Amino acid sequence: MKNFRFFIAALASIFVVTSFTSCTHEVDDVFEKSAAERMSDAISNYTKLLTDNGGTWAMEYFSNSSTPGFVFLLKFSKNGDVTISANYNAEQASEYDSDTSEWRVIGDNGPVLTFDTYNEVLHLFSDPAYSPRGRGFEGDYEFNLMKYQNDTIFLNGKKNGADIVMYRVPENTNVADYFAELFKMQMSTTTVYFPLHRLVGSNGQEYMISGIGDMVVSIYPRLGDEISQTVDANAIVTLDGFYFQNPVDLIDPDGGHTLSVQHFLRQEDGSFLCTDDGVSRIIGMDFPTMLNDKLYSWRIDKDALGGRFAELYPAIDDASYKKNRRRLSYVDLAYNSSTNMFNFQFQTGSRACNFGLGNFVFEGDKKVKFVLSGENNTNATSLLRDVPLTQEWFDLLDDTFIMSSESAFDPYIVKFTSSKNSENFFTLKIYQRNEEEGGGDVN
Amino acid sequence: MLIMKALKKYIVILLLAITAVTVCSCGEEKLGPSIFPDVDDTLDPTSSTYKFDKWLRQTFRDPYNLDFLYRMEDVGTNMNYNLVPANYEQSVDLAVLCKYLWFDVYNKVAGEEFLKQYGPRILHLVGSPAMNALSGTEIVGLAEGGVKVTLFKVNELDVNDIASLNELYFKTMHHEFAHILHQTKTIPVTFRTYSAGYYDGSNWQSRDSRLLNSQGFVTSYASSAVREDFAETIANYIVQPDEWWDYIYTMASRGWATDGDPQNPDAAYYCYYYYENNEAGDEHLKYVSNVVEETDEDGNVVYYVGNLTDSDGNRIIAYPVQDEDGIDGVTIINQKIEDARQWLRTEFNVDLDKLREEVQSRQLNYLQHFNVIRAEIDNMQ
Repeated sequence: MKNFRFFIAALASIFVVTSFTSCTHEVDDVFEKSAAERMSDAISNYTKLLTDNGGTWAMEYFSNSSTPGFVFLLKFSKNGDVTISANYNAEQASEYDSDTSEWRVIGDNGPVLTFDTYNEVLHLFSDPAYSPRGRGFEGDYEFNLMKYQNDTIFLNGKKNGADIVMYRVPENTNVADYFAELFKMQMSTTTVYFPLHRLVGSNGQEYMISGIGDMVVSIYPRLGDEISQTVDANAIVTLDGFYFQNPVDLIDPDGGHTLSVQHFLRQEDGSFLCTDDGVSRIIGMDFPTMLNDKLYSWRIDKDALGGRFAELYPAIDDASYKKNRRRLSYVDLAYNSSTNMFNFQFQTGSRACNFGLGNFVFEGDKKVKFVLSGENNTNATSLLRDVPLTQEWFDLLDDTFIMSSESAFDPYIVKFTSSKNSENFFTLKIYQRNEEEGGGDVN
Repeated sequence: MLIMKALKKYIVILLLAITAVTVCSCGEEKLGPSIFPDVDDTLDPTSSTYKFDKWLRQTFRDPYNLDFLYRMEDVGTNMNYNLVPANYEQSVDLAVLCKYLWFDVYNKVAGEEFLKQYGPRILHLVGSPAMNALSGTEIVGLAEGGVKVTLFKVNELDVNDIASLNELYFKTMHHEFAHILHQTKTIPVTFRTYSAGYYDGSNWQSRDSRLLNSQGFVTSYASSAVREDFAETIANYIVQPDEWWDYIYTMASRGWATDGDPQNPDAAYYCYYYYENNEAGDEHLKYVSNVVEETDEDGNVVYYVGNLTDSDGNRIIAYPVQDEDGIDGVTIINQKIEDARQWLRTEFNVDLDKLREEVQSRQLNYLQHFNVIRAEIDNMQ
C-alpha cells in the first residue's frame, strides 16, 4: 500500500513538474512567417519576377540524357499566357516554332513553375507518343524553382530531375535575330565533312569525339579502347559555345579519371576552349589522320595557289588545251581502290591522268612529304609527254610541306607551304566523302 | 475499504494537479492567425482564361460542385505515366461536349438532382493517353473513388470527326461515369456470372474482337474484367448507333475458328472456310473472313471467296464456320444489357433506353449546339 501511495504521488509530481517545465520555455520561431505564408510569398515573388521587365527569358532546356538540349525563348505575360519559341530545325537559321499556352507558379514542396496547358514547343519533350513509345524524351514541364541570382533562375525538373537554368533577356529581344545568332553557333559546331574531333585535355591526354554537331557526343581516349572506354553525353548550344548537361568524367587509356569537362567557349580559330580548366580544347582531326583516310577525296583549290604552283596550274591547263584540246578541269588527291594507292589525278577533258603516290611521310602532325611511286596510268604518261610542265609540278612536290588550316575545328581546307620556299604553296580541300574507299580509273 | 479511501484521495489529488497544470499551460496560449493563407478563388478578369473559367464555374462548379480541371497538375495523375497537359482550345471544346452530351442528357432524363448526387466531383483533362510502354495499351479514361473522372487524349479531339469523338470521348465519358455509379452501387450479381471464366486482364488487347463478340462481349476491353464489361456495355449501348450494334450482333451470332494455336491470344480467327480448288477434304481446308454473299437461282444464299475460281473456272464456295463453342454471344450481350437496364432503373431510377435515345438524338446535330455553347463562352462578360 505504501508503494502504491508512493507511486501515485510520484506520478502526480512528475506530471506537474513536466507540465510547468513545458510552459516556461518557449521556443522562438525560426521564421517570422508560417510555412504557408512563406510559400504564398514565394509564389507571389516568383510570379512578379517572371513577368517583370517584359517577362522575356531564355531557358536552356534538357530532357533525357540521350537528347540534346534546346534553348527556348519565353515571354511570360501577366494574364497567364506564355509564348515559347525554339528552333528545332538545324537547317534553317530563320525558322523557329512558337506556341502560346498557360503558366502558373504553384505551391508544392516549394514554389513550382508549371506550364499546365499544352504548348507544342515545350511539351513535345514530355509526349509519350515519341519513341520509345510510352516514355518519349522524358522531359519536364513542372519545375521546382530552386534559386534566383543575378537575373538567373535555377530550376529543377520536378518529375525527371534535370537541372535547368533560365536567364532574363532584354525585353526588346527580337526572336528571329536571337535564333539566327544561335543558329550561327550551332553551325560552328558542325563540320562539313570530317565527323571526328579531338579533345586535347589539360591532363595531356587526347580524346576522340564524335557527334558534336548533334550535341549528343561519344568520347573515348585516343590511345584507349573505343568500345569499352567510350563515354556518352548530351549538350546544348548557347550563344557563346556549348555545355554538357552534366560534367563529363573522361576515361583515361589506363581506365582512370583525370579529366572532367562541361563548359566550352568558342574561340576565334573555331576551336572550343573548356572554361572549367581553361586549358582543354576541342579541335578538329589532325592532318595525317585526315589525309590517310581513304574515304575522302581532296581537290586543289586553283584560286588558292601560291608562287610557282600558281603559275604552273594555268600553264598546264593552257598547254593541255593547245596540245589536245583538253582543259585541265581539276587536280584531285584521292585513294584509288583499283591501284590500291593514293593518286594525284589531273583531269584533262574526260581523261583521268593518275599519278601514283607511294606514301605520305609525316614529320609530326604539321609536316608532310609526298613520295611518288612512279606507278602512273597511261593517261598520266601521255600528259607528261604532251605537257612537260606537269613534271615540274611534281618536282615542286618533291619537298617537305608545312600544313596549316584557318579553322582549328574543321580543317577540311589545308594549305601546304613549301619548307624550301614559302612563296610556293597549294591548297587542298575535301570535296567528297566516298561511300567506299576510292574509285577506279575514269578515262 | 481503507485502501479504496486512500486511493480515491490520491486520485483526487492527481486530478487537481492535472487540472492546475492544464489551466496554467493554457493561460499563456494565444491562438495566432491561421497558418494557411486565405484561398482567394475570385476569378481574375484580366486572365486570358477568364471567360472559360467563369463559364466552367457557372456550368459545372456551382450546380454540380464539380471542379473541371483542364490545367494539368501532375500530382493529380499517376506519376508512372508520362503525360502532357491538355491543349487549351481542345479543353474548351471538350467541356462544351461534356455539357451537351453528358450533363445535359442526365439532367433531362434523370432529373436535375441526379448528377448533383451521383456526378463526379472532379473532371480532369489530360492531353495525351496514359501509355503502358510494356503492354502497348493506352488508358483513355479513368474513374477513381466514385468522385473523379480523368479523360485522356484531349489533344486529339476533333469536333468535326464524329467517329473519333464517339470512340475517344463520348463513350469514355459514359464509360467512366458508369464506373462512378457502380463504385456507389455494386454491379448486379447476375452480371458477374454471364462471362465468368472468360475474362483476361492481361491479353484482352490481343484477342480478336469478333471472337469476343461471339463470347458475349461488346468490345475487346469488355473482356478484361467484369467492371469494364459492365461499363463498356452501358457506354456503348448509350453512344453507339444502330449500325454499330448490328455489326456486333452479327459477329456475336457467328461461329469462329482458327488455323493457329487457340491458346495464343494473338491467333487470327475466321468465320468462313472453303476448300482449295473446291476439293473437299481437311487437307484442302482454308479459312477466310470476307466472302461475297449471293443468292442462287433457287433463292438459296451462297458464299463465294471473292472472285477466286478453281481449275475448272468455277467460283470457290465458302461455308460459315459452325458455332460450336456452346456460348450464345447474342443472348449473353442481351442479358448484360438487360441487367444494366434493370440496375439503372432500380438503383438510380434512370431509364437506360431514354439515355440512349437522348444521346443518339443529340449526336445527330451536336455541331450546331456545340457552336452555340462555344459562342456563349466567347461572349462571357
